[in-house]
Amino acid sequence: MSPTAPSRPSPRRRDFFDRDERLASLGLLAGHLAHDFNNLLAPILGYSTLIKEEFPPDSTGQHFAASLETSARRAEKVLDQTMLATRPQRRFTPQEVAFDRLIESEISAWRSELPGTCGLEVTTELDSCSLVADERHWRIVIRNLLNNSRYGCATGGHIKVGLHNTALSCKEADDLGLPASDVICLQVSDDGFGMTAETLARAYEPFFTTRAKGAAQGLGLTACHSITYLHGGQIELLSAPEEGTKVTIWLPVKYLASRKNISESPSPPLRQSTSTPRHKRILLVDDDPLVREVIKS
Amino acid sequence: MSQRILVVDDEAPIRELLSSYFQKRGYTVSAASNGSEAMRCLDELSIDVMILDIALADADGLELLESIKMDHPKLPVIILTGMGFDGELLKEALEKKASGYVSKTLPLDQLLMEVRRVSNQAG
Repeated sequence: MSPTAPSRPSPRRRDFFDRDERLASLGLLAGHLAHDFNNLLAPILGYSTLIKEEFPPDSTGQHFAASLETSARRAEKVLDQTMLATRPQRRFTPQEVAFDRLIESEISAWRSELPGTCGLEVTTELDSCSLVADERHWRIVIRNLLNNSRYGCATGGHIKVGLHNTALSCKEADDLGLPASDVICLQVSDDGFGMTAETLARAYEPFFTTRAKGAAQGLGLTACHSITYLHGGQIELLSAPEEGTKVTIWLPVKYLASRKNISESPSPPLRQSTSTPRHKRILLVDDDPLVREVIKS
Repeated sequence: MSQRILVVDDEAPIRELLSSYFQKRGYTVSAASNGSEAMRCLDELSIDVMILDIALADADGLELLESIKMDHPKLPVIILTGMGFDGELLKEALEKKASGYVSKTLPLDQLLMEVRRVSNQAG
């Protein structure tokens, strides 16, 4: 290989890339479905209103229409949560936040939900640094990660949360697909029952869950991935049966730091959706015809 | 004389729903299922407020909005979306001079309030 030849991406980088591509396709699919279902829900909700106007108060007709409306509103909520998990950029309000205080306050609010059989250790060693991030998004991330760990420790265990600054080597930053080496590292780990390789491979998929029906929607890690990706970071999930699970999120400080904290403003900080370039030909390769159709459209 | 609303949506149940709802409230309602029908209605009728689906089968609602605004710059247009709240879409709609932005699943009385608001602003 000549010294100027571009190096091949590492297997770890390729894994991240493949995962991101796959989840982007599923996100598009979810967006398409949400649109179609909202079109179906709108007449149900609207006609419930009109039906209620036709019946006197406390009549059976009123009751039936109210039940229709309640069910349709529940369906709408599921769609909304799906959209938030797969396309958080729809509700993206970045502002300056003290990241360590945000994480600590969310943990503090969540702590009361922890059973007595489960321990929690929190270590934050973050240099004082305000980030430009969506506060609501990160509250969702930390809560989902903690809920997953609590589930993993259902029969007892220990949860650790760590938040610190790290300088990655250039190779590691490249492996993670990060644009900079200086990162904030958020880790949530537990020594619970862990995941099998099959579960691990599907963990980020929307609606994939190993919990009992109704106990979880299977959108938590999907949301964690989408939100991390939107903020220009990387997320990695390591797990083994009976050994526990560790989730690590890296956020590039330079790209998220408040402008008043850095001397040089970096180029566009966040990975947001971009409009499709016009007059370009794209070769789409996917064995799922539905995914092909959605991306094509 | 009652105000005339033009509802543009490729979904017949939504056109029928909005027509029934606004007619009951004293409005005159015309409906179009695509971009060319909408343009024809605008040419032939005196429309006070337009409710426009952002994702028509034959046209991009935002592109249609842009061309409508060229010929009818004062017409209030409320964008109707099946995607729920979308900050990016909202921004783009406002840039293209939409007067309002409403999710299809929002309660109808809120759409009515929006129609009143934009027609008051225009009037």
